[in-house]
This record gives sequence, structure tokens and C-alpha cells, in this order.
Amino acid sequence: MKSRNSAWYLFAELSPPPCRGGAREGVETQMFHNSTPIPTFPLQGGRSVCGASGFYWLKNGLLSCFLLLCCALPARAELVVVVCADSSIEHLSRQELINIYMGRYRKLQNKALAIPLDIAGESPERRDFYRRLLDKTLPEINAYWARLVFSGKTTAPAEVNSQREVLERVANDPNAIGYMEKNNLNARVKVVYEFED
Amino acid sequence: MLRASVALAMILYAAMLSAAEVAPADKRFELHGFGTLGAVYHNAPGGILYRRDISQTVDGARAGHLSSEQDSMLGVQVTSNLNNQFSASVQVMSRLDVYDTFAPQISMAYLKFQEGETFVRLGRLVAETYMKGDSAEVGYANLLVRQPIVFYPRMFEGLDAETTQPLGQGLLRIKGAAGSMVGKLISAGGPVYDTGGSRGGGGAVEYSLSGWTGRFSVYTLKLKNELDALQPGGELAAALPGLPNGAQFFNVASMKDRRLTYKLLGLAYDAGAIQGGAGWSALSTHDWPVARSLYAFAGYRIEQLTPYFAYSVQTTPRQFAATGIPYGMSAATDALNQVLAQGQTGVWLNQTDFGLGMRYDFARNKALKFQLEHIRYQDPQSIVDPGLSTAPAETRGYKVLNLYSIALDFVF
Repeated sequence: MKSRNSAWYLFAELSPPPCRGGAREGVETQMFHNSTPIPTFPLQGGRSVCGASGFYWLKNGLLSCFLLLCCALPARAELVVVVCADSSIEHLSRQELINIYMGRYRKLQNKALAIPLDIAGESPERRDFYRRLLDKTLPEINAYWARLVFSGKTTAPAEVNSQREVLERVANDPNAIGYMEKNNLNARVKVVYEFED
Repeated sequence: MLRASVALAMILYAAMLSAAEVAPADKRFELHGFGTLGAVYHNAPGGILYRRDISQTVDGARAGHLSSEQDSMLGVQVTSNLNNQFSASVQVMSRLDVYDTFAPQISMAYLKFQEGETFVRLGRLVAETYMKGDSAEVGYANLLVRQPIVFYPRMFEGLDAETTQPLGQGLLRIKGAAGSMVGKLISAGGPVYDTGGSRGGGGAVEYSLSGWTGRFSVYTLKLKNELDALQPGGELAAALPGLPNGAQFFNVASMKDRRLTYKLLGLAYDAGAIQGGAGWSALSTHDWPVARSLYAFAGYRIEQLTPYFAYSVQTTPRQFAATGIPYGMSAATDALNQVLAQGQTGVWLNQTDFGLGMRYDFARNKALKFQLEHIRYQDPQSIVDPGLSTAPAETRGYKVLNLYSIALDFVF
């Protein structure tokens, strides 16, 4: 530990403090995912750090790096597509959803024209929705819509500002379709498509 | 010209500063805009001038100079959603024209009636010749700086109708259009030709499944106006009766009542990080050899960057119509033969383009593109090469132009 490079320093900082003596009891890490706790697990417990073997450092270091990686990844909410609870639509296929949101074909199974809702701008929900639906980035989606809008062919999905607004619009319009995080659902809407993780 | 560039740049900058959210679809009025601030550079010797297409002035980009005029443009579109079925839209665009100005032009203005997945539009429209919609000039909407192949004329006044229905696992789209063309063109050596009033029509059948889209289109066009030189009293009109094959030559050169038929076959793929397309087209008309083109392009997105390539080849068989006057009779008749041979090549296209580029989506609704093109031409239409007119057209070889482009595209 006399000399260490920055990577080693980071590694060491994430690891139990060296040479402080005594036991390190029940250090636990808890990650929160949209306010929903996921099971906690011990980082390392009840082990004296001083005098640790190379194997210990290797194992502990790898675990620390894994945790660091987990923390660095963006939270991935469970996103669902919803319609009004009174709608006769029970399920939409992935292709139907693509056709509706990309303005290719918006006629629903009940012959009504779907009104897709987008959460405005660069919202994380919008980014996540198109990434999961089409594996497309928002600039690609915006370029796609520029093609169609300036051709006068069709209109982009109506924009709303929040998931709360999606909920309101969908609950009050039998033809509206929106996406939101699963934990924001209520009884006024029903899920017609769920993304598989 | 410089002032026009500066003015356009200022307009573009102002538009970017005021770039707003794209208006939601359910608003009564929608305001959208698009623009490109572009620059091209080449260093081909011999007074060669580059221009984007033949709807632009022959005073193109000179060698050794960065020119911002060929690719820069600005467009604004206002749409009024009158009710659930009717809407009206006007699109005004400013880009370099045949008269070397950036005079704004109404590029689209129509009333649209939509019932379900079927719509009819009446007004000034654009023929759909590209796989990714009619918005060929909207840089942000397209992967490349320019379309690999440029079709013209495309703007018309009339109506179009389109319907989309499910077929099997995919979607079938059928489109028809008819009307009177609008737009002026200018070849490298010729005067402005007005396509205005030429009547045309056609349709397209398209099938899309997953990320794939295939389309076949046919359009016909009957040109209304004659070339100035063939108008009564024109130079060529006066000279042709004196030629042994004058009548035949007149048929080759004449534009009035010429019926053109375009056939286009295209395939596009757009899924995940990959997008690309390929197309084939043929342009046929009486007394002219059939002109064919083939293009392909593809890009692969890596985060904010999308590197891409494009390739296109355009060919016209070099079948010269003879004047009937043998070479070697006199210097004057040889010169006449040469001029008339040169004139015929003006409507031909023998050119190959290979391009590599990169699109960088650096900010919301803004993209920066860098593109390098290697253009090999024998009979170009958009490139103005004075050297081509000094050598016999029949023995003309291939020349090369390397073009470097940078473009800042945006929409608002």
C-alpha cells in the first residue's frame, strides 16, 4: 500500500479500510430502484482486513467492481403500455404497438383509431420506451418523425408532460394509448402490453 | 451571393436559437421547421463547379473554396388541424435555385382529408420517389448529406391519395398521384427549362414487414414546354432543317410533348442500430436511350454516431443521333456536329458515386454530418465541367471529383 495507482486507490476505497484492526460487521449495500427496494446482500462481513491474503483481495475486489458496475447502470423501470380500463382492447402485439407509435397503422382491433401518447422531450420514460420497442435512440425516432411530418403523411404521437398526465388522458379517452412505469398504474387503466426484460 | 449566404446563415442561427418543441399532434396549429447549414469543398482543377442537383444555378462550388450555398436551406411548415378529418398545411423553403438566389418558394401547400388509414390531399405536393418519404431535402430526416440519386421534377399541383391496410403479417400501402408539375431546371450548358404545366401521374405499391419495406412505383410525365433553342426562331430550330437528319434530330432534341416514364424499385431496412436502403430506377422516353440508376446505402448506429456508406451508379447508353453530315467536310460542319453531340450528352447521366460519412447526433434535433464522396463521371448533369465541351463528346473519358461535405442539420 506504499504506492498505489488510481485504479488501485478506487479499489481500496471500495474495500474495507486497511489496517484499522478489528472486525467489519455486516456492511450491506442496498440499491433502490424507483423507490422499490431490491433484496440486500452483504458485501463482506465479520472478516478482519488486516493481514488478508491475496485471494481475499481478489475476491473482494471483484465483488466491489461488480457493485460499482451495478450502481453505474441506469435504473430500468418496468414499463407497460396501457389503455382505458373500459376499452375493449385486451392485448396489443409488439408489431401493433410499433405500427401505432410509428404512425404506420393506427386502426385498433375495435376499428377505432388509436391516439398514441408520448411523454415529451428527452424524458427517461420515452427513451426507455423506444429503446425497448425498437432498439432505437431518441435522435433516430426524431429523425423518423421529421421524415413523416415534413412529408405531410401523418402526425407524431400527442405529447404529454408526465406519467400522471398519461394516466389522466388514457383513463378519460377510450382510444388513447400510453406507456408508464408499472408501479404508477391504477384501476382506471389496464395493461395491454408488457415489455419482457 | 455572399450576402445571401450570410443572410441564410443568420436565419438558420436564429431558427436554431428559437428551436422549440415539436408541436403535439392534437394541437389546432402546428409549427415545424427544418434547416441545414452546409458546406462543400473540392479541389478538382479545370474550372469544375459542383452543384447539388440541376435545380441549382450553374454557378456552383469552385475548386479550393468552401461553399455554403449548395446544401444550406431553411424550411418552415405550418399545419392547421381543422377537425378530425381535415387539415391544411403550407411549407415554405429557401434554398439555392436556378437563378442563383435563395428566394423562398412554396414547396407544399395542401388541404388534406383523412378517414381512418386513407387520405386524400389536394394542392401543391411532392412526388414520393424516395424510400423514406417525400422529405428528401430535410437533412435531419435523412442519414446522408444528400440523396444518393436525385429525381426531378418532383413538385406538382394536383392530388394524391393513399391507403394502408394489413396484409398477412405486414402492411400494404397503395398510393396514387396526378397533377401538373412545378419547377425549373438547368443543365450544365443550357438555359433554364421550365417543367411547369407538364402533366403527370402514377402510383406506388409498398409492402412493409418488420424492419423491411419494399416498393414499386411508376410515374409518367408529359412535358409541356419546348427548349428555347427549339422554339420558332431559336438557333437550333433554324439550323435543323438544313441537316440531312434534321427531322430525326429534332425528335431527339425536342422536349415538348415528350412522355417520360419512371419506374422505381426500392428496398429499405431499418431496425435497431442498422438502417439502409437500395433502389433501382429506369427513365425511358422515345428516341432516347433508357437511363438507369442503382443505389445502396447503409449505416450502423454506435451511440450518438452513425457511420455510413453510399454507392450509386447512373448509366445511359451513349447512342448518339447523327446529324447526317460526315466529319471532315469543313470546320464549320465539324463544329456543328460537335455542338449537337455535346447537346445530346446533356440529358444523359454516366456517373458513379461512392461516399463515406458520419452522422453525429450531438444534441436534441440537431445532427452534424461529415461526408467524403468520390465521384467518377463521364456525362454528368449536376457537375459543371468546362473541359467536357472542349473535347469530342463521342470519345469523352471518365473524370474524377472528390467532394468533402459538412452539414449541420436541425429541425424544430
